[in-house]
Amino acid sequence: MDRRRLVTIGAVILGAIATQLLVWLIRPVDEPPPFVGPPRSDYTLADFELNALDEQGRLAFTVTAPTLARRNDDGSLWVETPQFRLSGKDGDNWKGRSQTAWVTKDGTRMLLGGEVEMHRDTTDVARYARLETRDVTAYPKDRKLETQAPATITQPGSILRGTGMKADLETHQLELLADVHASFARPRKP
Amino acid sequence: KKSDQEQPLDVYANHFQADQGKQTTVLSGSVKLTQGTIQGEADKGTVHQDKNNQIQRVVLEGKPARLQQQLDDGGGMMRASAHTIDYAGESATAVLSGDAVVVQEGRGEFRGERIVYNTASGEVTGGSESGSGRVHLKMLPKPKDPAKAADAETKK
Repeated sequence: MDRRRLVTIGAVILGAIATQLLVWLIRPVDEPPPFVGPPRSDYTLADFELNALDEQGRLAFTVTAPTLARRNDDGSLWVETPQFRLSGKDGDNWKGRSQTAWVTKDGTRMLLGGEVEMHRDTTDVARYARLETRDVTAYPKDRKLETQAPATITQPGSILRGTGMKADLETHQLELLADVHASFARPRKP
Repeated sequence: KKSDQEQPLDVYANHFQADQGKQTTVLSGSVKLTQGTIQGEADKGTVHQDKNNQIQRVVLEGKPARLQQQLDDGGGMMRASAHTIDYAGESATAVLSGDAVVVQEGRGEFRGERIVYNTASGEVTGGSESGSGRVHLKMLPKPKDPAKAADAETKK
């Protein structure tokens, strides 16, 4: 193979390398991802109290918290460190708090985020009970709660523990879905 | 043991469904019950409570349901099994029904359709409520005192 052909092959290789370098040099610079902050809220409230009514106009639940932001895209509410009260018949109310709450526009669903503590005082209808768990989905108007997290329910004379819980505050039905440990104290002799 | 009655009752299971309105709780899936030395095992357990949340009865059902307890004097074990064991801690009574068997180490063995066992005194009562059920009783002879046996030998 004579010298001229070798020289042409070498030149072509060099040319290819040079153009590849050029393409790399003039590639478009990666722009930083556009800043996506928290959803834009059309209004925020500070130190507010929210009373939600059900279809019959009865008080379904109350939420008080230092801050609330209403999202303009789906009308949901984002609340920090809420304290809430789920109203029930005959004063059978549950009070509680959580780290965050997200409430749908129509108030039918409430996601209580982080640690959740709820308790019910003794009434004629039901006895004192305290619930400690995490990440609860609440359906205030149906007065139902559910979580996949471990839950502890304390009542005078018993402590119930399980993983995963469903509760119907209206019919006083309670379900623990796994790893159940129910401890019943001995009655104190009168 | 007599002291079992004074201990808290613990129940473990895979699933728990309580109807606080009816004061009834149903536990299912590898149900285990402990109260002092009393230990129970079953497929399903139903806990009945009174208005003050105190336990009235625990009904264990299984194929079979089992209950065991350490006896007071001598520390032998009582082992019982039946299709249904209705245990009332308050009155220290366990009613076994359906292929009921109660074995008391060193004392005897009781079989029948229905046996009532007193978890405080260890007393066993057999026969159905209608009085027609048959009970099969096998009492072990009282073990001879080794010292007396030797005396009897030398006197011969």
